[in-house]
Amino acid sequence: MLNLVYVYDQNSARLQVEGLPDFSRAQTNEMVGIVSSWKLQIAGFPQLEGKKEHLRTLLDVIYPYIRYYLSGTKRSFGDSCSSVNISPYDKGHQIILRSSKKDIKPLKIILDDAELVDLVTCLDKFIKDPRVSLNWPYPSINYSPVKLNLDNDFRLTNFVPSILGAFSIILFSAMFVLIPNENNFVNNILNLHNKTAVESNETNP
Amino acid sequence: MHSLRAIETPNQSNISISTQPCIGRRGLERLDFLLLLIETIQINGVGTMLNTSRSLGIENQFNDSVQLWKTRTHNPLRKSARRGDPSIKEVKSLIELISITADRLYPLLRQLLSEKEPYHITNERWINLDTRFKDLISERMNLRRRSVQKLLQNDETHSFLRELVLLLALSSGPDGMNRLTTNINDIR
Repeated sequence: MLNLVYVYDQNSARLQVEGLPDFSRAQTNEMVGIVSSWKLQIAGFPQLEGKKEHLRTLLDVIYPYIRYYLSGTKRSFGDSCSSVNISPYDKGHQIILRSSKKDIKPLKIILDDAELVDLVTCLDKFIKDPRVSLNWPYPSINYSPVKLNLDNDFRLTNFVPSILGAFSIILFSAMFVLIPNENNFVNNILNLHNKTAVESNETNP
Repeated sequence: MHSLRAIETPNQSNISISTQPCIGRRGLERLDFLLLLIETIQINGVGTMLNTSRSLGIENQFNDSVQLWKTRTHNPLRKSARRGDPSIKEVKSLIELISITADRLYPLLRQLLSEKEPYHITNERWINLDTRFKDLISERMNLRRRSVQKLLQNDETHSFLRELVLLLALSSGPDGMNRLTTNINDIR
């Protein structure tokens, strides 16, 4: 069997992918269509190994994280059950990797910005490699031109200018009610006077 | 305000180039600030970018520094801001130019971002970068604008500059252009 090994380097990160061509999809001998295993080495941290599902999870977690992070939203991706979880940590980024085997504690890796960029670029090289043609949908990597919904958080401070504006309009309008209209006042007095005169005429003909 | 059409990412095959406006105000600001950062890091950054544009075959867009400057003056924060919006072709060329330049500057960007470098050296680098970036902002941007004044405050400059350096670093590499395009679409 043809076992192909491709290595992608970017400064402190090195990704090694082993796989086979998928002849059912008419791939040549140099192409990887089925990933059998992968190894990720980040300088200063233990080597990570896994199956293709773990690599997919890693990709699904890292790309949205980067997208949100760059847009100014620092949030974590991957829940407590997920095999990979990434979250902002102080000035860096914490990646938690959980093994599928029992009795193995989760591995925590804290990367600085430079190491994260290295890792992302390394993964980019793997995804963009024309020799690798996986039948993965890459939903999270699909950079569609749709604006992220970043303003989910309700912030009262956002409404303060509108509320103050509305109050000032009401207050300003209310001030006009207090100003006496002299014409109306005189007309009212005259009307009242005429009315009383008519009434007195009616009572004393 | 007319509706703005999102810039298509380079991996989409059906790219149609038109003269319609395609980018939001904040996106324009960010692209201009990224170019300003490139100039901060590299003396004669504009000259190098023009050479890069010739090698990329986009010299029709930016055949000289005046053409590049004219596109950049769409940034509303500039002293001499230009009305109107740049075309999709201009924006795509700018993104391509930034991404290719980021590839070349990657080692320097990495040094700035790394926490593993000796602290005093990194600190000195950031101080130099901060100072030069502030000088360029004072020179080119409209200082009467509140957002520009805010940028010139020490803490704001540093955090903003760090964000820009990270974005520029992530704009490099095989998928960097896609990432930058997405970010420009996201923030508008």
